[in-house]
Amino acid sequence: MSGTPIELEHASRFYGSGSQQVRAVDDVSFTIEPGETLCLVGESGCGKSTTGRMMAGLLEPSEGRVLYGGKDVGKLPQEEKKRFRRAVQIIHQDPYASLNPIRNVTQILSAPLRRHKLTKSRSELGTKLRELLETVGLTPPEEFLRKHPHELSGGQRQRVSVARALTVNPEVIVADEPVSMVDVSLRIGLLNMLLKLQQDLGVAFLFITHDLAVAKHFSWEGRIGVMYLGRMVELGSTQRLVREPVHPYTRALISALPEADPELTRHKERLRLRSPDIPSLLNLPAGCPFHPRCPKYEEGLCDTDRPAEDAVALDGHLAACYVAARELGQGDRIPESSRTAGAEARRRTA
Amino acid sequence: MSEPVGATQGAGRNQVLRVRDLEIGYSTDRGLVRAVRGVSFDLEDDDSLAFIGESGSGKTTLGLSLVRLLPQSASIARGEIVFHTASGGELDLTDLDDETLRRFRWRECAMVFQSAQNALNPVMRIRDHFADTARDHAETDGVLKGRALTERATECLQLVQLDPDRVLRAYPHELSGGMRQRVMIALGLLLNPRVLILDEPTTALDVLTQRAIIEVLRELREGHRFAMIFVSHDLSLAAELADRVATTYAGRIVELGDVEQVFYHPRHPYTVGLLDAVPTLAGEHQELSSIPGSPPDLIDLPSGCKFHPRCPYATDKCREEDPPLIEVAPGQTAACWHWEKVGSDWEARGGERHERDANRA
Repeated sequence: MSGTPIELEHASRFYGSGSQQVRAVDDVSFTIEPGETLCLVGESGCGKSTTGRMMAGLLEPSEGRVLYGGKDVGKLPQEEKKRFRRAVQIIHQDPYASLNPIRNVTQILSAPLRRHKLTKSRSELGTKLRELLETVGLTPPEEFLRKHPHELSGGQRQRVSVARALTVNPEVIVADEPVSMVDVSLRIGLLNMLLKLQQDLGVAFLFITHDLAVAKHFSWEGRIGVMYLGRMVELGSTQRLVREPVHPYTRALISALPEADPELTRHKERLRLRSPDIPSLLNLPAGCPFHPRCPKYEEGLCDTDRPAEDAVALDGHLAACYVAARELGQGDRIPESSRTAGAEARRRTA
Repeated sequence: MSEPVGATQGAGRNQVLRVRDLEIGYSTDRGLVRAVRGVSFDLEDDDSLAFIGESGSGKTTLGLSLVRLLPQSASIARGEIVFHTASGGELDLTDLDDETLRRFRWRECAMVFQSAQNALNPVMRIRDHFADTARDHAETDGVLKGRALTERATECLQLVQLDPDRVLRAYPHELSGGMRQRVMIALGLLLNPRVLILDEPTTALDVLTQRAIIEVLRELREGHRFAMIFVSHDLSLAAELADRVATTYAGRIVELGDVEQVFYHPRHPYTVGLLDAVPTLAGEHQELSSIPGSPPDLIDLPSGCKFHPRCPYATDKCREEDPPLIEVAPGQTAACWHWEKVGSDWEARGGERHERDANRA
């Protein structure tokens, strides 16, 4: 499968207007390379789904651009736009809502094949459908071809959604919480199937989840991006991010996550947040959006300027935190204003 | 089969709840849904018992039956639920008149419902929720009201780390999901119940909020003497908060034991399957596998052991006979014909698990 990188370049998405304007995604940049897996992790309202929808071309950025092979998707000529549409497919969270209940599996899967003229004859269509169902682990395919969504379990429906995304040979699949509504015992089966697709077909994934443990499992060889209140706060290789998180928010998430192991989870190191409550997107704090909750908060330094996504940059591992930047010897990346304000505040309290 | 193991009579511990051979069904157009089948367990007054299982395993129905809030279409076909009240009496919950039931709920046993979003009345201030609960469930002569009510409500809200001044005046929509969930817990505590039932208390909440709720529940249990039953599909919640864990499948308890026993020495293949299916954040990358097949149709259950169509250990015996819950270790029971094999296979894999544990440290 040929690959073209897809890039978000300073992409933002706003909802509402005036004082009611919500910056759901605010100045987020990253690239998905061909065949790569990137997991977006964050709590509800952090903008991870909106980011995914921009990447899939379902939402236009309010500011910034989506680039497909270096070209602005918003300005692509018809033909290339169509290619982009096929190249990026999305799998939605709710398998009960994303499949048409009155269509059977054959109809659901053959619609995109016909639309994009990917099969020429009836027999070719039949072969293709069988192939698709086998790829997503719905075997034997004959058993599923005539079924309607209501005759399938949550896990099976989600597999049909995946098969539908695969009909057009996508380069990237945006998977928005694809397993969160599936029973625990079936979840890993679905994840392992997606992993296999990634390995066998070389499909790139933008995998969106609130569950850091799932992200770790899915993108062990890939990257994780952690979002908070519309911003990317940390982005780096999964193994490094899980073992040595840089941003205090990532560290808080890791320390807060309960684990299915009584000894481990009861003796985990806890990070005490300064406040349990998440600020409203309508009334974002100045400076770093995490500062009202952050255990590392320093007056002046953290509430003056908003830290850039790459305030910390260590071999491609990025984190938006000035305190971490200073601790890691990258204090020169802190803007003058925050440095001065921080120093002043320290002098006052001393 | 009707005498579950694991009911220790330690010094100073009193039994609050005894459930025997409970059978609950829902009548539907398609037939009888057998949601709870022959469930038996005991609960001590400082016990924390978690029911874990997937959707449709009957765990919510079980929780609802303990406060007699089952919907109309449900009926208790058999069994007994005996509650030992604070005053030393015994109540059979399957047979209570409305007045006794009204006084039983919230004073003896309270429930925190799933999805706090929908459980609070959107047009009532939080203060009025407390007043309503007090009025409906308190004894007629000693209704909590006025200043006493405010004091008690304030106390309960502080226990769950909410600011009473702000929260009492607020409407539900002014609070976040995590705050509403904590309000629900505070409401449950209002009348000092001896048993608190929590149905998926942290589902649909974000990680940091979930952590706050877990810590609140842990502190409550340390400072106050009450028993807790919680029902969840989330194994990690049980790992955090439970003293004992009951794995449920197709309406039955298939394994019951101390939390360490169930997590570190499971003897039922379904428990093993669940443990193998949950990714952990700590440690190296693990191979995870799912349980093949889907949970059964509760109207048309398979013969014999209900797990046999998905079980790697299934033999003809499993297809024919449903295994009883038998003692597999002191305080641990499992319903599997092949529990010894399941156990030795698990322990044989122990090396690999210990390595994983070492990596986590």
